[in-house]
Amino acid sequence: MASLIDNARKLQEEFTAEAGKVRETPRSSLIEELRVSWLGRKGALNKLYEDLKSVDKAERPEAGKAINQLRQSIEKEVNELKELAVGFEIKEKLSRTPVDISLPLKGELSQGSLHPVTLMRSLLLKAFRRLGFTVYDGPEVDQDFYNFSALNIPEHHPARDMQDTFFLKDKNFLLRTHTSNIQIHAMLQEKPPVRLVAPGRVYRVDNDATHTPMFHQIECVVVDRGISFSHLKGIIDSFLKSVFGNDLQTRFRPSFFPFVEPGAEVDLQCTICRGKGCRVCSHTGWLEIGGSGMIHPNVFESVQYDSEDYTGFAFGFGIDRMAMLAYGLPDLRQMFTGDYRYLSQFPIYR
Amino acid sequence: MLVSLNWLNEYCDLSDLSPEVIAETLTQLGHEVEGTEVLAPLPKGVLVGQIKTAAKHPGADSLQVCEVDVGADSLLKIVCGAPNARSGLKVAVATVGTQLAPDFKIKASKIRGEPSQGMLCSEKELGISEANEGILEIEADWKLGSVLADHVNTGDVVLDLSLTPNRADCLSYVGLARDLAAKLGRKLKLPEVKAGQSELPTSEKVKVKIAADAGCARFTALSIQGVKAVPAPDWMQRRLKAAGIRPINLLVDVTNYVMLEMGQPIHAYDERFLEGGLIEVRSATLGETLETLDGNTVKLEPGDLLICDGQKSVGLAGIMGGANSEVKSDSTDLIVEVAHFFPTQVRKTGKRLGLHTEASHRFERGIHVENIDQVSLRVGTLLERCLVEVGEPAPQVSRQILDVYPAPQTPSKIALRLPRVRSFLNLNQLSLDDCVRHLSALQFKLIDKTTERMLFEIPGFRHDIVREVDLIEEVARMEGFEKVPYELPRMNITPNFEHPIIEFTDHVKVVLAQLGMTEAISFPFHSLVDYEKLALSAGHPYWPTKELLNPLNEEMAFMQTSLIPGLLKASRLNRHHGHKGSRLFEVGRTFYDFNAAALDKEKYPLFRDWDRNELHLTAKAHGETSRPTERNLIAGIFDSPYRQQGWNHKEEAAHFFHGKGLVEALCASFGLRKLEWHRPSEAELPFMHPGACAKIVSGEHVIGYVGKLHPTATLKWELGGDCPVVFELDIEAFYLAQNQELEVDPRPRKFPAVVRDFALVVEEGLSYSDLEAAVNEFPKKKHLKKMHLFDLYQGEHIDAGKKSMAASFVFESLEKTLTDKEVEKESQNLLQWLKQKVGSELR
Repeated sequence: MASLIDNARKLQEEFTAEAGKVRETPRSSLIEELRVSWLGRKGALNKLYEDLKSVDKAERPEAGKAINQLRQSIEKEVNELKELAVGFEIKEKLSRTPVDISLPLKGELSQGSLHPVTLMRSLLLKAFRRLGFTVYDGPEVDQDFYNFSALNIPEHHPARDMQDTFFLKDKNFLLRTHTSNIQIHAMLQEKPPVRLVAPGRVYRVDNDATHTPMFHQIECVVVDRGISFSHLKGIIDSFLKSVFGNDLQTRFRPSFFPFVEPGAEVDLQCTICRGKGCRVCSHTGWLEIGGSGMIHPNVFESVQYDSEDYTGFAFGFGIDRMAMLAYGLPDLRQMFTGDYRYLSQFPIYR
Repeated sequence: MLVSLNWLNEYCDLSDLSPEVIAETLTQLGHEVEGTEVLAPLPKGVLVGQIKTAAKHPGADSLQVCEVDVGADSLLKIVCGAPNARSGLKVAVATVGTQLAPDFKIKASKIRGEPSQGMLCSEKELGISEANEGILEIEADWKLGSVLADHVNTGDVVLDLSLTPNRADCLSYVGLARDLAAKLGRKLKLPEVKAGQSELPTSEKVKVKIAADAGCARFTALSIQGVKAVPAPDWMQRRLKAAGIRPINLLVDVTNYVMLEMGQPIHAYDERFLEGGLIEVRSATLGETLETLDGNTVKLEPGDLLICDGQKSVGLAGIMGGANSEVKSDSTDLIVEVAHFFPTQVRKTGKRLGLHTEASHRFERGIHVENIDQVSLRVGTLLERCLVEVGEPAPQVSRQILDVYPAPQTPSKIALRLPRVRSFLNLNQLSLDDCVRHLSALQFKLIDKTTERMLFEIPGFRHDIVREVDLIEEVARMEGFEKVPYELPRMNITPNFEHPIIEFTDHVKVVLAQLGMTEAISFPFHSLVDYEKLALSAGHPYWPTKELLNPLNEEMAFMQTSLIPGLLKASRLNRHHGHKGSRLFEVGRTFYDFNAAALDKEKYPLFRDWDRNELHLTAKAHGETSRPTERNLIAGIFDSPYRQQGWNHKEEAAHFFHGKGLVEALCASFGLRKLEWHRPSEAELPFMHPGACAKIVSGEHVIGYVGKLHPTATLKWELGGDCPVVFELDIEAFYLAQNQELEVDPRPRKFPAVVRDFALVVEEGLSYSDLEAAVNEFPKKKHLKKMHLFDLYQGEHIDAGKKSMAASFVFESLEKTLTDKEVEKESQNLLQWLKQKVGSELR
């Protein structure tokens, strides 16, 4: 009997030694081997139970207890090892060669890009919508009335030379030379007050290093009682600051656009040198940004607005020019070639 | 207009101001200065000389010893290294004692042993240009020994002004000086004029007749006898050159000089060539011709204004004189014409004939009619002064100007209300006196005032002042725009009437970009050939009909009807640059004429809604039915390959499903998931691959199409290899289709779904949509939620003419966990139904 208990004790020592080895590298396969050799059908423990049958009845409980203790201790250790194995094996897996994280994934899940003119347009519309403006669209093929005569540009007036016009073969129509035609369309449709912006494509017979036959403008019109030249300056200053930064000043110079009076050319401190003077602004510190002015009473009269009661202002700026300044693009023409390598550099949000 | 500041000083003394200040003041007045040329002063010691002999320097190969005549008793010996120094050449000689630069005074010296009494100068050494290749070569007939500075414009600043078309009066020195004087509070000095002394009346020489329809409000003629076409005095030549006008002879130069001075074009006739003692202004008759001063013969039309003598036409009124009566080098007796011609008529004629002259430029903008006699007097005065100055006898200027002015203009009067000025400019401190002071400085005459209202008489040279608001602008100009404070308007909140399609379009762009597309913008001008390459022809809705009258070139003569040509051009360009596989999209306007030829909706159902103008375009509001139709489209192109080979995948050609997938994703982004895919007819889309193209339909809306470009079109567009995939959507249809109530099943899903896979053998012609329709119509449907096709197979183990479509069927209940039995029963029912409906057999 003593020998069985001794045997169990000996086996306990053996197991502890074996398990200790497995513990060093607790892989599932080793643990399974350990479990099978000790707890399996032909395992050491079953043999002990066999031997127990030949032990004296009186001594059997004690011997059985010793065996049971051994079994419990083995089971406990195996379970512990199994738990260890989970962490050990993950760690072992992770220690294998990592992926080359520098490998390029070109075209796998690639985003596209928006045109710089679209990016600038969105920026401008955001600024104007915040100020409560309505965005308007209108025809690109239009009639003389909307593009010229209602805007106080009569036929045979030298002011027409300021804009070289594309005409359709059907001479009743032309391609709008500015977004100012929207002024007329909108005012014929809406009663004052009016507060709108209209971005869009415009066309002029022009094609050289700094001009394209099609380009983009944004028109802004405000009509209400008591609108003053001061408000024109305020709105322009506000939106230019929101686009180009609060540190830049604006300047207004008298100029002539037949549909406004007074008319003013708008200069913005150079966006590149911030007014210090550089090559882009010809060392003047200022950039010409667009034309503006108080809506001419003749224009109001052509849309049956009461020019005594209402005043208003309008301005038209070049979106392309603003995009070129904001994103540092020197060449206007390159924007309209469809050059993928150029276009795909631009983001979607800006 | 080029403006010499030296000349300008004559009418308003600005000599104490720097050119920068003057330029800035002009700009603040609305006369933008586009350029400034500074001409350094030339020392008096630089004389006109002539090389008499040029001999090699005995001590140096590259030097010559010249003997130079500077009008003195003896010749100067000067050593010169310039390669172009040669005998006979007229040169600029810096004489001994001349301070040529602050640290460079010319001294008598010896150069390599040879004495040198001065220096022959290059343009750079004189400070008049950067040219330093050799010495200045003088070609003019200047007197030897005369001071060079007297001949050339130096010590001056020339401003290049960009004048706005409303300010005709500023096309003159007097006009600009008037604006500057008013702004700076200085005195304006008008040119000297005095009446002629000759007793011989002009009317003895010539009669003037203005036809009723002649478009001429006033015509003056002045007889000046005994003139000589000598060179004009240096100062006059210098000023003309500074203004960009080439001096010719005194007679011509004086007319140009006075035009620049006073803004009034002048024409001088040689009296010998005026036949019949008559000058007549009349409209041309059809077929008449005239040889103009520049030697061209122009064909005239009724309406063109002609100046005629008793026999012939002698000038195109207000534009250009005739060759037959021009002043010649031997002219002695002149008739000087100073007249008014109607701006519109001058402009019409000039435009038609392509003639734009200094004269017509001014007439088109309007001249100062009341001042015409003063200009005439000025010509006489100046001509006399100049002839005397150059040592010629004084001419006989007639005491009488022949002045035909049938209906003298009365100056207009405009009222200015102080409250209006103040509120318009938000300058509440502005006083009545301020307004009067500003406007009087500009020569507006105050003729009446109350405490709040002023009445001004408008000077005849200010054609641009016709309403009160014009006076307000003048006040603002004088005050300075910078005085107007910055302020944001206070406005009532008004409903925003913006059409949602505007913002929708912007969202579409963002979604497309996020789906990997790059936005392009191209010119909307194409040629018919571009559309022929797409197998289109007249009658098709895409056949362009809006043609430009004045296109930049033949290739850009038609307005686009589709964005596809622009995208194909871009892809072709990118191919030429060696870049394949570009994914581009564009949102743009297209133009159609459905008024002239109605849209054939039977033949082209794809385009059936395109003949109405888009929702948000405002033009329709005014009942203009004949307008061209304008539509905003979205189009895109996947150039092949869709993906280049990478380290983890093979190259993938662009195929139909890339396009379809993109369109589906785009539509789904807006909640539009129910799309139908219809095969277009060949007539509808002849440029698309007949086997791999679909119309995109949602309910009643035909949104557009997507598919492969036709192989023939691909070849013609030089996009060889795999056909690119393109799509084009109508924004309005897309907007309307997605603008539906959102379909969401809000019920909670708590129970697991059960999936059963079946491979169904069907006829090979059966489409997925046929199978899908049959599944959707399954009458005993209880728990079947969706079908997911995971394999298509034809080949071994499948009979010829058949194919296998393997799909997962998902069964789901909202109330309970389904049992195997329930799923099994519904599956069997489904298979039976499909067998009956589409003849499918379980594989």
